[in-house]
Amino acid sequence: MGPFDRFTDARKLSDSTVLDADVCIIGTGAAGITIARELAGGPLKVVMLETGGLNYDAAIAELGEIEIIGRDYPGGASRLRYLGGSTNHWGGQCAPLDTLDFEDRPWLPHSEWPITYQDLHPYYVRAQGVIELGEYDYNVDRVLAGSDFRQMGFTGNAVRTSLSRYHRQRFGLRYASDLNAASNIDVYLYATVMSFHRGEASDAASHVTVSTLAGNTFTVNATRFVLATGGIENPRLLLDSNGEQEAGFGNSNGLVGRFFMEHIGYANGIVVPKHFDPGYDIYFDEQRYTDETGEDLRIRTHITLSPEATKVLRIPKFRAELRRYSELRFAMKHLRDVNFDFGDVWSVMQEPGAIWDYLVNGEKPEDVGAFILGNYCEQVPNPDSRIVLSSITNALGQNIAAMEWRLTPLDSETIRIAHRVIAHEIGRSGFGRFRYDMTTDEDGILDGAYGGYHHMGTTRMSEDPKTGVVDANCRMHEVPNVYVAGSSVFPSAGWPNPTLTIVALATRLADHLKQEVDRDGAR
Amino acid sequence: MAPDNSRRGPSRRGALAWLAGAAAVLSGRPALAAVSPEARLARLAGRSPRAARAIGNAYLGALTGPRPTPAALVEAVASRIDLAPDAVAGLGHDALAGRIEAAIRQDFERYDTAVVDGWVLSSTEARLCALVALR
Repeated sequence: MGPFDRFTDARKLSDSTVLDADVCIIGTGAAGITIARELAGGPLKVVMLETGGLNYDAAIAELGEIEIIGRDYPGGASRLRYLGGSTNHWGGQCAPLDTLDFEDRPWLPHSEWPITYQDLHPYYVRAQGVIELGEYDYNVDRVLAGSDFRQMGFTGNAVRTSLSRYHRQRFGLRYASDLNAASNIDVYLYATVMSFHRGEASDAASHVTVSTLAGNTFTVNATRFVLATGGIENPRLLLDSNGEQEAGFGNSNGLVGRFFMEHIGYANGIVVPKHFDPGYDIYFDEQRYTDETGEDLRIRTHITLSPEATKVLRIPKFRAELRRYSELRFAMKHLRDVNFDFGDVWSVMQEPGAIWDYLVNGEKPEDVGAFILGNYCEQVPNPDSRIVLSSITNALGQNIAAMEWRLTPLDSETIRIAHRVIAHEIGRSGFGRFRYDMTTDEDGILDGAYGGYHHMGTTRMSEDPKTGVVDANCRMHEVPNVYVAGSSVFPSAGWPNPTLTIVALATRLADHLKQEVDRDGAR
Repeated sequence: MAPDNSRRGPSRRGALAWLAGAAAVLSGRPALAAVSPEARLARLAGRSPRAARAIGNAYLGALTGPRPTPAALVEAVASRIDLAPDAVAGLGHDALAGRIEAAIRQDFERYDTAVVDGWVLSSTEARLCALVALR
């Protein structure tokens, strides 16, 4: 049996085709594939619908184009529409959210999750295995112990070193054979869902209509649906499923598409350490790492503000990836007149007597190093930052998504506060000196900010239907048999990249579906 | 990681002490007494007078109001290290350097800093650089 021989090209289905499933999973990215694998070999008949094929196809990719109507969003949607979804080009960076991220943070309205870190912890451990990230250990002291890498010596409680693990798991390539081998799973390629539909006598979804670029259309009836197409397409499809409800499917509270969040990327701020240690390479690039699992891993550290510090400062979470000095010019957008350079700052930090050291002791001068901060700030949840339907249509006649990315004054303030704290902690701990590179124009502070292609928040999770789209089990408040998977359910983002949490939530959702079926039956 | 401080030859501080002793013998006066408080403090502004001067000039240029005199800078720094200005010259190099280092850290802790060309410097180190610039 070949790896894909049970997959079906939906372009070859006749118009009258009706497929029946217990669970219809829309999307084959990290979330969709994770859920399908959890259901593989079980009693539920699963139909997976993938808009693309096995490889990149420009015509399919065009279906996912977006219109930018808010602040500039460099790079466009960046989604990939084929088996494995955007995991086909992701960077593999993973870290879990921390306890505070899930809690009520009064200084950050709308940020509370209806679940806790403890609820998600066992699923983080399982997600770690799915992505093949080695042991579930993000304690930087333990992980770096015995290595040649060194933590920067911040001695206070505000600034710390945090760790990410990396494995560019290509979910399609890695797990296609699992899907193919599961007799209860049928994968349909080139199948673009056009709309959800309700049954006549209930709030539940009865079926989805599906089209292909070959011109055929078919129907999938299912008892349960899982929408797992990413943080832009999830709300777009719900909004575009407006044949029966003008506001969109399950959107009577008008929240679908709102609270679009990103990690706000902004290269800014220079650090000159007093002593530049080669062990700091762990901050600049992913470094090979092995643990008892023997998996092919990379790790990298970042500068973050501690949860306690963000609590005291009343700001969102903050992390900075460090870039070498060679990239410095890229960062210095707001360069002022320079009277001296970072080498001069370094000199002032040193003890007098360099000439003596060189002449008498033969000590070579130290390498003077500097690095810049690639800041990634948690975006403040903002209802006015949103995905809506564009008036532009794609080749299938769907209204494409329009992105209205909006930031708030607290987003600008966060980066300024974070840099102020970092600058003073770096000095206080004797580590080095920091240079602000921020414009003095209040309105221009985040000009040029970019996202991390982390599309979050657009079908947010909440206890109360009035404040979110899905409940704590990722079930739509208004549609009892439609679940949403992916980062669109995040009420707030923390600093970590989202994929580990996406996979953890997907694993948890799969468990929930299995328990629900055990309790209520498949139909 | 701390730098490797092991040296093959005599330390520079030892050498400075030896030179001071030799100067005292040759001149018949205590060597330290010959050095002004401004000079003592200015020597603590890092390893490159040129760099300290550049930073000091930028600091002074960014100040609003009248430019401080060397005496005022000495007084400000001395006060930060709990010394009378006259007592600065009487303190040994290591003791003085230790007090300055502690003051710099404390400045950062108290957010008593100066932003010079964007660089966040402790007020004490900025004043030391200014002393170099004014000499």
